[in-house]
Amino acid sequence: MESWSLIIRDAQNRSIDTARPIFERLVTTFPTTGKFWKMFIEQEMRSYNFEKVEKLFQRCLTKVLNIDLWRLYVTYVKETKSSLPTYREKLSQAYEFAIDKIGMDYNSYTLWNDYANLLKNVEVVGSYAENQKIMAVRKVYQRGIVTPMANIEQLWRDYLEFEKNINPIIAEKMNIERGRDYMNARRVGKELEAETRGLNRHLPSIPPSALPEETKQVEIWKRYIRWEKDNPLRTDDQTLVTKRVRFAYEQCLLCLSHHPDIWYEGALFLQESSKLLSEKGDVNASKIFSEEAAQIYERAISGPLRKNQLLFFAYADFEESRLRYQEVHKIYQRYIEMEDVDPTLAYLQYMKFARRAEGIKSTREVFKKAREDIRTQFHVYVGAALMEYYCTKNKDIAFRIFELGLKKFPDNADYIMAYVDYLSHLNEDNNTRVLFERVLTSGQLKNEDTVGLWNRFLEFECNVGDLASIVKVEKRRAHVLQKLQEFEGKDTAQLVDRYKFMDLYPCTPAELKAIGYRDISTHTMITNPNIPRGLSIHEAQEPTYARPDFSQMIPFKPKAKYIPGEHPVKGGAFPPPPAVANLLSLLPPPSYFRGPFVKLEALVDLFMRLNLPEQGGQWSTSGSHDVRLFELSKSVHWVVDPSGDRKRKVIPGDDSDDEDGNKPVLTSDIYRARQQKKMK
Amino acid sequence: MKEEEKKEERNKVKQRELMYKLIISQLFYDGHQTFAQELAAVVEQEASAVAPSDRLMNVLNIGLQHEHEMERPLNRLEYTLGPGLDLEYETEPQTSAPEPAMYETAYVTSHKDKCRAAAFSLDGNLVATGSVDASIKILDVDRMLAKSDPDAVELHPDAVVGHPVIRTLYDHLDEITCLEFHPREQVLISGSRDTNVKMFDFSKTSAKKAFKTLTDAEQVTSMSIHPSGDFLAVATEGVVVRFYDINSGQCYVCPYPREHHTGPLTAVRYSADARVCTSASKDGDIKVWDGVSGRCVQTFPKCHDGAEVCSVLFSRNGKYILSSGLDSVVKLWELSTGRCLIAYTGAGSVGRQEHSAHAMFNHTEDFVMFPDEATTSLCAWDARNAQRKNLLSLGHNGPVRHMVHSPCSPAFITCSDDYRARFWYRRNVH
Repeated sequence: MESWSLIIRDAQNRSIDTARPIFERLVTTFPTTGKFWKMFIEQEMRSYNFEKVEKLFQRCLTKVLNIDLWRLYVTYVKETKSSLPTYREKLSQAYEFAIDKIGMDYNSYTLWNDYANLLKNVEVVGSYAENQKIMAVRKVYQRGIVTPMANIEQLWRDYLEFEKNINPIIAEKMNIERGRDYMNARRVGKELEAETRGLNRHLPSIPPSALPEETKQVEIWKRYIRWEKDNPLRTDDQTLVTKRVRFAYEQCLLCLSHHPDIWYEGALFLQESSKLLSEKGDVNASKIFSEEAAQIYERAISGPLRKNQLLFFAYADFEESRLRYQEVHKIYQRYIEMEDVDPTLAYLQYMKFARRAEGIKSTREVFKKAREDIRTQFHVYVGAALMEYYCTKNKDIAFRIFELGLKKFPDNADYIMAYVDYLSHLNEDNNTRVLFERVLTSGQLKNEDTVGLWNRFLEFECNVGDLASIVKVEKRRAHVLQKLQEFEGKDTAQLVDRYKFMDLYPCTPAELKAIGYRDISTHTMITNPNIPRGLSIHEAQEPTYARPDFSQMIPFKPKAKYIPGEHPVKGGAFPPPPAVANLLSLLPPPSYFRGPFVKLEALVDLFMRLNLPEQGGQWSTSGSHDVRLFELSKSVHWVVDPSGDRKRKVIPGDDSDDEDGNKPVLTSDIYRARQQKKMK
Repeated sequence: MKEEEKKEERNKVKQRELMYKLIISQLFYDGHQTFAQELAAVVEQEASAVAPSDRLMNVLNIGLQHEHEMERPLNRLEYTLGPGLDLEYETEPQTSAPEPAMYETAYVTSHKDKCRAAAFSLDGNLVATGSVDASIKILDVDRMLAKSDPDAVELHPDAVVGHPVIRTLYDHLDEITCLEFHPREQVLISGSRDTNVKMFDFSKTSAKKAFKTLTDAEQVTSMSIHPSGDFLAVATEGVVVRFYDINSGQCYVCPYPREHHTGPLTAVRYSADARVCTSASKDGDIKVWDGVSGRCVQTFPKCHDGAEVCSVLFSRNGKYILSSGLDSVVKLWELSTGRCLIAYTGAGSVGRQEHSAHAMFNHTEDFVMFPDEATTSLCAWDARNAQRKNLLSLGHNGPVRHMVHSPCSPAFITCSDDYRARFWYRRNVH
């Protein structure tokens, strides 16, 4: 990317003739990036190569829905065609075209505005033409003000202005009629801005790299598309919703054309909305959308992802669901005909399709083709044979296919294993045994590869053979293993193989390890699921952080005036116990207290005679936790500073003491104050 | 257990001795006799007892071959944001981070009085600034960038980009001295000279007032939120570091009077895993507090030659502390050995620094930055070898009193006494 930006900067400074090939390569590498197309075209325009410009526009306009590019196009039309007699028609055509394609963009205000102004400024003669003009302008405005975009307020104002100039009464009516739609569009416009914030629409499309920046962009795009799917305009018009979502996908694909998931989801969405519309009875629109879905697939597989099998298969399945088998055939053939790919999987899918759609005959034809293709791997044979077996229930054909494959892949252990599987599942013991013997003695397999087969043979004998043949096969296997210089002198380890079943072993994992047993087929040490393996970085990070333990600290209430000795740590005091603090927070501040005053002796007397229950209720919801902490921390405090004992009583709850002293004065004060008031 | 530990300790000493021996013999081998003898004298090794040998070279070769097999343990923060500075693993890494001198101002916001505090949210999408006029602004990074993006302005002069300031909060009575974003929720925490710590829920557009207040008795100078978001460490003009439980509002301190600072506090910071917390004070000391017990576990006395320490912060892995002082020197302290590893010098050479200023790392911890007061420019160093980088003129008309770097992108914000906060960003050039 960095290097490209250097090249571009250099090319911009050169004359177009020398820079053209560079730009040509640039736009072929990034065919979806509007910015680069724009640079190219601007460069051409600077040297007045209008024919070339025209051609370039033809190449990019419909594919790249980039607002800047389109604006450039309109300016271009405006500037170059002004001498033509049909200038106005051409220009309004260009605008109409542009608005149709990209009028949904958030930044399309200038386009709408210019178009409306253009129409307004048309000079017409006669009342009929005048009316025509007004109708045209009105139509543009009315389309514009229901489209969420930036500066929609301005457009609305202009529209009202326009209507007022014609007829104030109609203007008023229109205002009321259209006002709600406009407000709706404006709201959606605001939301749109919020949703797409942080989105970089100019990022060139590059293959996924999983960099954090890119993931963020992908996330925002997906969020934006999801938002559009939720129908923010709250319209009942399914076509409009689909169009908007489609536009969002198009925009997204300009930046993320290398992401197959976006392509697939886009096509899937169109497919679904097409289904929805057909259920509603709108056959035409449904057809159009389904056509468009096919187009998206088509573009995907002919564009940057032309080797992505996933998209090919999805496209084929889509066409199949529309019952266009001819198309499906074409799609598969197209992939298979590509030179530098491995078509095995495509053949397999193709065969499956052929069976579904046209029956086994057609499958055989495909298989024949696959056989002739030198690039295919053994999977095709296995697939074809099993298909014959499962579908036609014909053992012989499957058997013949396997034999045919064996001739082509006599040295492929995986293939032979599949063959063995097939035979043993048919319960053809003798045939299986013969096959084993044939393959293992043919000498075409490498020793390493035969180990798996020997294991399989052993297992087979264990299951169906008698003990003598088991021992015999084991011996022969041991012979091969010796050649590989493993398990020297570890007879027990080999015995384990005889008795194991799936993942059950005759010894404990620890014992197995001690014996030196290894799973021969995989050449790896036996792993015990009970012992956790090396943790990856993710797991190693416990999500919990170290948390302060307040029982080891001391409660502290910062105080402006610190009395030395009040608290072991300078600058504060002990807070009241949580229960008292809670009560204090519920009480009004002391300054609000103006009586009535209680007879203290009587109150204390009452308290003395009170029968308190044995167990008190909870004092607050926030918890006994705090109380416990407080108690704990208090105890810590005693250890640190036993002299603090006395001071603990200095808690704000004791304020009432002072108030008691002031009581007589206070009352008299209030009394006097009231007296004075009355006097006045 | 203890015996084993001792043994290990002894082994380490022995190995270190061996290493020096190898270095000396290598020096002899390569013909640097005088250096070898000097080194021998320093480490008290008898030079004659060492034979010239190429063994160190061989061992190094073998070691280098296997070095990449060692897995560098990363904590969660490092895992999400990329590994930061760690001198144990790399001394000369290739960095892709832009040099600080390449940043450009992307947005300027003004307060009605001196700007003194700023913070980035953990995801780097929001910025908050606070001022002496007691107001707080929350700004959206994306909108600031959109507003100043030269391409966008050129192409869409009419496009309405939302205003970058998304919230303004007034609930304090005096200067805002520190700001912090809550790590999980849409909450901004502010500390002020009016002795309060307030919490604002900015998820609602209408919120102007705090929904919770922690009342202290002294002017709050700095604070740091626990990464779980449940606790808050607060530094004030007092000498005691407070640990608040945010949910209950209770305040706790270390119970041992001798372990506390002796001067007003200037900064406090939690490490990424919250195992430790560090604080700086005008008495010139830096202290490290245990994150669990709240006790002081380490003191770096007179770190800046007795000058006031203005800022402290942990590196991402919690192994180092970066401190700045009124002596205009920025220092990197290693926690495990408890000493100053690197001093970044050169700032303040034009004129003496009179106000406190903050040092910071960039988002990859490849560079250290510190504002020079006399020239109002930004000094930058390579974090690993203290090599000076180009200056960046900050364009402020007053001293830069606070600055903070984004945790994940090439962006930082500077707050100055000229009432302004500048947002700096390094754009990707395409």
